[in-house]
Amino acid sequence: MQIIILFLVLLLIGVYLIYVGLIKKKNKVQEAFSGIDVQLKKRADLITNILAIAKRYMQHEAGLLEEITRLRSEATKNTTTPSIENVQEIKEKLALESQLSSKMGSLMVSVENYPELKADNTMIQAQKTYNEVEEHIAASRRFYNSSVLELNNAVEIFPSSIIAGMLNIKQMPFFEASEEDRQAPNAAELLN
Amino acid sequence: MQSESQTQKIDFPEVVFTESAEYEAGFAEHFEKHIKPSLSLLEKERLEKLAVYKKRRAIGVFAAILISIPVVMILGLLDQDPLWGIIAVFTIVFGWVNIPKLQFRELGKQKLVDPVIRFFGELTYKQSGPVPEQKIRDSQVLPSYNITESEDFITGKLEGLNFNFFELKLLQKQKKTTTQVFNGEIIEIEMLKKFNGQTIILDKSSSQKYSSFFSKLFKSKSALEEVKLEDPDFQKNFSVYSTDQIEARYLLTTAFMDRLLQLKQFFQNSMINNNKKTTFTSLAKQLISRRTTFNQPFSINISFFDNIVLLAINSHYDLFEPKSIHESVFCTQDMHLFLGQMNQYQELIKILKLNQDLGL
Repeated sequence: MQIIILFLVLLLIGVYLIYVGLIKKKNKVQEAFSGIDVQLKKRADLITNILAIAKRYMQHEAGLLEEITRLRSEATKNTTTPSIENVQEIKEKLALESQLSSKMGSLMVSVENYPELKADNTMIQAQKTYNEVEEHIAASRRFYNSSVLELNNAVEIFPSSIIAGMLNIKQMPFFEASEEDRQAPNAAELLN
Repeated sequence: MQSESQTQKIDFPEVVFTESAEYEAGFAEHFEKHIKPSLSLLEKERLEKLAVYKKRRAIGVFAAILISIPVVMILGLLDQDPLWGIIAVFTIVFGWVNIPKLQFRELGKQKLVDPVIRFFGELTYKQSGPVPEQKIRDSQVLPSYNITESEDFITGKLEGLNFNFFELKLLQKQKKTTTQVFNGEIIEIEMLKKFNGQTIILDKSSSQKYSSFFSKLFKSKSALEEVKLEDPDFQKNFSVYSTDQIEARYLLTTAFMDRLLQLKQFFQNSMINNNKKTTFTSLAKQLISRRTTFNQPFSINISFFDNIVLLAINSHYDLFEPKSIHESVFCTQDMHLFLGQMNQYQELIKILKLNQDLGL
């Protein structure tokens, strides 16, 4: 009888520790996602400035500029940071931001074809700052992905997978880098 | 007089600095202009000091024995142990014999180090200076100590940033023993922007050695959390802790992690190349201070805090030691080594982009 009680106590402690670990991992993912969101908002503000300068020179890129404007509006539509309970919303947001990042990469490349824009001091400074924000996004993404990896492992691996199922904690999507990000474009270099 | 006439007859060898790496580009010209002229003078000084040293060494033993005799007799009359008297006499004579060596060492540092570092920027060399103890404590990457010894201060601007370098030895004196807890170089770079939090990189070889120290540290500084990075090689060599997980990753890009591994490799190779010299120096130090223990592994620890990047390199190697009084100064090997080391610091600043003033 005593052995059974001891076993149950140990089991309860084990379950509690797994529960604490899962909640901590989940909160860490939320914290990491908020970190990304802060940087994405910063980038969205910066995109407005870049578009305003670019429109003065890039008459032949109207389609690309419109596309960026549309994606930016969609990305900033929801001002509150989505909760990680809503996996689908997070997936959509990350996909949208990846698209925006990709289009911005194309815009930076196109700047090369406009010597006047390339030499514009405001544009040079804006691009430098944009590059810096992109680096912060990359850092936030690494933190987020590392937190997601820890959470997903816990959600998938037995015995924590059982507790995760009971608490309805789901696997989270990774924030994949866009193709342009993988190639690591350097806006400042493009301008020189 | 005899030594002077000897040096005047000597034809010094023609020394040329051959640039062997990209970062050495332009140094050959700098060497011709600013270093080569002082080498001939330094070599003359070396030969003079060497002659004096040899003379003193030859008569030193006899002088010590002669002085010891009356000292022993006086101590005997006073009913004291004569051994201490003999030790004191021999120590004083040993010091007197070595004065020319020390004088050459001082001169060599001033004549060689200063012009070499000027190649990199507005840098100046001083043999002594103040140790920024508060910053050392705030950095949280050095073990506790109660005695400091320092030398070879380089201050000025490197890549447009305020740069301070000095050699530091930290000792922990307890009741009966004195333990050397750090012996190496401190590099302090002042950044143009302030960090949000504090990030520290600990070399695993040092964190294992001081595991108790670091565990105490992290109990008291619970805000520092471990940062798990993607690079397995880096993770094998270093542990990272930070109060800001995102900033830590912003600082520790893959390029930075690679560079830090390279920097560690570079210093380790330098130590192997200079193993003979280091071993001799360590041995001499142990003989002088038998109660001091030397048992720390090589390590590089880094702290990012306020607007400072502080590197603590526990290398056990004296970087700015001129050649022995017995060796000619016409050799550029040390210069290649020193240029390589300065280049690593320069590259580190570039990789970290510490010198960019961005509009954030």
